[in-house]
Amino acid sequence: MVIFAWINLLAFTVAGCGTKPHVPTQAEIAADRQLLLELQQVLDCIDEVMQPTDEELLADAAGRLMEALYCADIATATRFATDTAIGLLLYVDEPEINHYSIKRTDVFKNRGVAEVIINQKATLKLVFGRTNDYDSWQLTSVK
Amino acid sequence: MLQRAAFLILLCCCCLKLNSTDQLWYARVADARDAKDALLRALFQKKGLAYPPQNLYLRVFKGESVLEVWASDNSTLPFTLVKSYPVCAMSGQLGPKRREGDEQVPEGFYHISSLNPFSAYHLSMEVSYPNASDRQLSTNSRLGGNIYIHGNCKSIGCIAITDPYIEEVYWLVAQARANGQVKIPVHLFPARMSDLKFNILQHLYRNKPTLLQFWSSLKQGYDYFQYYHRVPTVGIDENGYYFLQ
Repeated sequence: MVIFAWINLLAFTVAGCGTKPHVPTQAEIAADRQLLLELQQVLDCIDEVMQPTDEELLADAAGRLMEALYCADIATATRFATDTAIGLLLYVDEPEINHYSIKRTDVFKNRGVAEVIINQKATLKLVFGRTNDYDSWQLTSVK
Repeated sequence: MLQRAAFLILLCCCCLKLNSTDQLWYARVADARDAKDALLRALFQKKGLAYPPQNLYLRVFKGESVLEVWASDNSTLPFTLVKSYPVCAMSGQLGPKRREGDEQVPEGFYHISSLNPFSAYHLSMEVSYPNASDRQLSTNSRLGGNIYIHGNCKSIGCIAITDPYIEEVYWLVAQARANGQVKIPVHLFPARMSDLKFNILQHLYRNKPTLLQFWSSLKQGYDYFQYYHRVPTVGIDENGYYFLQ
């Protein structure tokens, strides 16, 4: 009985230590590297496919700008608009923005136009610009 | 003797009556009435207001280029917006008039001080610029004057709203004056002074604290009217800024 117990204990001890670690061969290492490379390429491809389009980036900038104006948060609005463009809003006869919706967006290389409906009546054309494809959209004019 | 006295009393009454509607002696005013009276009557009726108007209040937003006409049936009732008129021409920039020749349209709390039926710009209504605030806040001894709301579409410090529109506003003002409203208030603002617009002004003019302080005092009057639809009673403090009384 005692001997049986000793055998059991020995068996558990061997199991707890684990098996001897496998040392990969050079071929396996090369295969792993190849697999990782292929996976990275797949991820890059997915990432590229998932990138927002220029229209989506423009709609996002216009939405965030309108949200800031809705809250009368001019400090935040300046992140999405030049001072000149914000000044032009003084000439728009909408004292408050109680509701807004982005009707459409159009992108022409580094110039974008977001058509916005304010308070369900006034339609504004917000003209955005950017210096290059990777720059963020900034409101430059209001029509 | 008694007949003569009665005749004189009647004559005096007629004269008084003529005085109250004396604007109709002028051809342009009579024409304005003929052209606009029915339209204005219908407009007031639609708004549930008595016509001819009893109490008028005008306000102008320079930024938005809008002149609003408000009316109430008596001095205890809140005002109702009758009509917004687009301003056709207005010289200068945002900011008050502080000297003669700056071509600025004033900003502040004024009233219609006179009517000119012989204006070079069809019909015109004089704004009571300069007031005590303007005198105190200006460093210039020559503040200028002759600020009008008028017809046509040209402006040198004035507010031009075109001939057809000045006919409407002028005729309303003439009737309100005839009905006993001696001082028809005209409030001139740089823009609608809502939180949004005021924050924009604060941002754009952050390097001009004196101007912002002046606009801040104007905003009190704007906010009061926005909330109560009653014309605020405004005082001027020792520095020339407006305050609500």
